[in-house]
Amino acid sequence: MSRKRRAKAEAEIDVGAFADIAFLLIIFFILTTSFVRPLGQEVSIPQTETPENREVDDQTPSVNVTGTTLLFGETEDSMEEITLEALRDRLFQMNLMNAEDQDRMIVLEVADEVTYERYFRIVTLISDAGGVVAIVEEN
Amino acid sequence: MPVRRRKKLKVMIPLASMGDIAFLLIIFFMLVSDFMRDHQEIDPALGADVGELAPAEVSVVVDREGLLWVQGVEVGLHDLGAAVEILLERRREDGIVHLNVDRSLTRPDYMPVIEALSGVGARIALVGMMDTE
Repeated sequence: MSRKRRAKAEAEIDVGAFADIAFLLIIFFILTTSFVRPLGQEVSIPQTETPENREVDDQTPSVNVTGTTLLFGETEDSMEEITLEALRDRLFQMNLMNAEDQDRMIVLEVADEVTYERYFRIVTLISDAGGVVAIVEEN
Repeated sequence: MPVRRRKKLKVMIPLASMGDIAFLLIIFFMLVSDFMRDHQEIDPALGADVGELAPAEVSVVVDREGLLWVQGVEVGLHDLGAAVEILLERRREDGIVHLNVDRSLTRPDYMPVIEALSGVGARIALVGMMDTE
């Protein structure tokens, strides 16, 4: 008995729709992607639980900021008005980068009227110089 | 005179390779994407001592109205610490928190936020823009 051979069917998967989906996904990613890394400064603010969170004495360098004035003193008794540029110079002269952790502390007192931009400029400056910002909590 | 019709040619474009390229592009975008988390309206602070930041694990924004947003979701100040703590636990241990505050806000608006973040042991990076003047 002779066997009839089946004709071989040619199977083809339509990948056209597949590519459409892929390109829709690409458009989604192009729209949601942001390549630009944000600018800023990582700041060292002692954590509540750390031993760095201690009472600071009057020998700790302090920065006192109001809406219009900026005071700096290496001790509490030597506070004087200073410009932002001069503060930068003084902090770099103190060589905080190479100092011990406890000697890098800068007490920052900020008045209520100080805008975030002013605070940002001063905190990023202190951090850039290697300082650790101590937040003053009023008792 | 009889005109002889040309036989229609069946043109087939192979789309499989196009799909391959498309998926390679998708993988590329998935790897480099940093999805936009912040869509709040804020004027960023300007400063001279800024540099490129590492990608944020958690993004905290205080907008013009003084409203607080964590990963694009509005939260109250009392919930900030817990929200950031949970998000940092889910991610890397040394996760960095990007804090983006509107430049015009004053101390009572931003200081409690910084204190709350400091309280949960977050590594804080203040986000701003380079002051070119």
